[in-house]
Amino acid sequence: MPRRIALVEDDATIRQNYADALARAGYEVQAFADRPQAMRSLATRLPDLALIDIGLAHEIDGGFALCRDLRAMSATLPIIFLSARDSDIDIVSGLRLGADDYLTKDASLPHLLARIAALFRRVEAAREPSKDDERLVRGALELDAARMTALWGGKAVDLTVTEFWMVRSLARHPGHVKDRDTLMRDAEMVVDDGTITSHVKRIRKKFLAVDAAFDAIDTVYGMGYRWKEAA
Amino acid sequence: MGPRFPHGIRWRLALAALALLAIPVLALQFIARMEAFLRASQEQDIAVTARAVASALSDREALFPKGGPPDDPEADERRRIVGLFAAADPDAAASLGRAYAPSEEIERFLDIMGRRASRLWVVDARSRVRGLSGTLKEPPPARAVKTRTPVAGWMKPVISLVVSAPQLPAGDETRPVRAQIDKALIGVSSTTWRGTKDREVAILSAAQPVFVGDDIVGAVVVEETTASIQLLKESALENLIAVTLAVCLGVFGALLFFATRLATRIRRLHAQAETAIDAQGRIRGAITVTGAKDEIGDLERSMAAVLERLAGYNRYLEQMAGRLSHELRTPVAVVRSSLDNLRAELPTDAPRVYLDRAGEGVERLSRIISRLSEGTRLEKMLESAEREAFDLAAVVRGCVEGYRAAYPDQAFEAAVPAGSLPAHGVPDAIAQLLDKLVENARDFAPAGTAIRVSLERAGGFCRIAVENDGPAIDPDLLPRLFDSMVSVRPEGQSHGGHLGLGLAIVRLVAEFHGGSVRARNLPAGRGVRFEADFPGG
Repeated sequence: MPRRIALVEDDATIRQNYADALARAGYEVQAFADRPQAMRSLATRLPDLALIDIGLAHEIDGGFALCRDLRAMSATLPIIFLSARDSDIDIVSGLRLGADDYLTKDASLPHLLARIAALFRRVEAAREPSKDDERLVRGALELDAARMTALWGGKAVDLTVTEFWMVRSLARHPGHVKDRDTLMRDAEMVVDDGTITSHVKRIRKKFLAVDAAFDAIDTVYGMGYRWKEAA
Repeated sequence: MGPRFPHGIRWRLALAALALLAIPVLALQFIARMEAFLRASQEQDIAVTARAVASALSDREALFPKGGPPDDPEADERRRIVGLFAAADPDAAASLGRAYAPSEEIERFLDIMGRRASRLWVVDARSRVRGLSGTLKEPPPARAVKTRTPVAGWMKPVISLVVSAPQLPAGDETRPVRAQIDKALIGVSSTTWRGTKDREVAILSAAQPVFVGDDIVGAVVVEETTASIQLLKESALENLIAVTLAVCLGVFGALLFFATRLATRIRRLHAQAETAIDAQGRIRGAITVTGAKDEIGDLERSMAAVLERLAGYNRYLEQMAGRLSHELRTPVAVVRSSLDNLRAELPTDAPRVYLDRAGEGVERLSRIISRLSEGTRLEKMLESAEREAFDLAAVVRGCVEGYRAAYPDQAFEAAVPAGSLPAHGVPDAIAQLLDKLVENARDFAPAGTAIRVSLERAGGFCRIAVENDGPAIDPDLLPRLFDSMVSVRPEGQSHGGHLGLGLAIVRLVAEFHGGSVRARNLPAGRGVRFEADFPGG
């Protein structure tokens, strides 16, 4: 049975383009133009994944409200934000709305599909034992690429898919400086340098929330970032 | 502030206040008129007294017995003595010596007729003083004892300018009296002023002939000093000076206070207006409205409103780029997703060259949009960023290493001091600033030349400078380079989607750190130098 994806996007052309691409990838797509429509339908039957635009028709932050409502109905439903505003990305993280990932609308469709696949893989892998080669352990850090989970000192760090790939890219070669381009490539991101900086900031904050003494990510100005080996 | 405003409001009001000086001048003139009037009436009084005494004494032969030769040889001598007596020591009847031949009856009569503070004497045709009564040395009235106010002392020269003392003939002091007696003895009554040793006091004397029948047998002389008028005048002057001084000071003080308040308010407004908009025309401050109901209050309100409208317009312009990028993203997403769908549905062997070109175009468009909103995003980032202590030298060294790795074809020369250069701020933003400066330099540096990056301590701040050997920039454009949307790239060279936003970001970061930026051409066309200064170091 194909996975069902709810797509909430107010721009008809983009909605149709995305719906076509998702359908081609083998998903069943439910497309909605605004929040009330989506809520009416989704309340009766939750999708397997929700793809939500932040600005919805007349509601500038309608996507946020929808995300909150969906999260209230299900703690595990994977949610991806789509946004035309890159500043929204900061808001998403600031509001801690429980989105699993976010993409700007610049993202290519293959990239979007890859992200969706990664999220489904994460959901699935949570139920299966992971293979060793997908596990990465660096001091207190444990990364599980199959489940896309990160542990620091045994405690779970709630990273988004993007953040997970960035941490993995850094931690794979401790001491090596990863420049922004490499990080973007590794995290399959299509955003600009400034966004990398704010991603790294958020990652640091998430680790700091688990361990106040965390300082494993080193900024090498002008070059990029580096995972510090535990002393 | 005085020297800065030689023609300030206060100065002008002080000038206008000089008109107040008319008050004391007018008052002094009034006093002078009053004095003249008093003198005139005193003259009349004394003349009337002399006439009364003379008429009382007339036709009383017993008092002026005839005898002796009419041209008594001693008469001249006596007249001299009388003159001396009158001029020199008004008191000493003894000084008259032989010229004093008092008649008891006349003296008693004179005592009755005498006025206070006046001296009456009668001289007969042979210049003998037949009677003398009264003295010119009046007992000083209570007021005169009072210590003179210091004001009166130093005001005297001023007063003397305005109030003229009676014009007194100079020369032989005895002459006026003798002349008067001579005149009286030939039947002419007269009133004259004569001076005394005291410059302020004059003596007024009236002489009147005494007749027996048709013969002139003697003369009555009545003398008074002007001391009483003088006293009156002085006390009036003192009062006048005290009052006008108080009024002038009061009015002047009030004017000064008023002017100072006005000037202070206007200066405050001026200072606010000066700092409200900086050299680049951006709103930097606000005008506080005090709520005053006067014209300055109105000015404040309208200036604040103008500034508010200007700020609104500026905000609109600044957000324009951000809004534009937001609005453009959606159509770009439409194009991109359509292309992606097209690519997915095309048979694998179909030619994709146009599809790829369209993809490249969208990619470029996407980058431009990203740049458009970069400034806005950076501003947001700086707003929420936490300032931290960091090593500026390490940031610059790291960045230069990064550039060498990222652009292997480009040579970089770095002059960064060894050791650390502590600074306070947002290191990411500083790195971004350097990125933009280097990016800019790379666009202009001719192939094969190095880009020189330096960090140095200059006075109280740290200076990051980036130089390239590119062509000189039009000096008129130099100050505007750091403005948004100003680019000096020649047409056709803006392949990377340059919108003149990079250097605006440099300025944004520098100003956020309390620093400044500038660009200048190196001498002899050896290139262009961009500098950013940061406080600290």
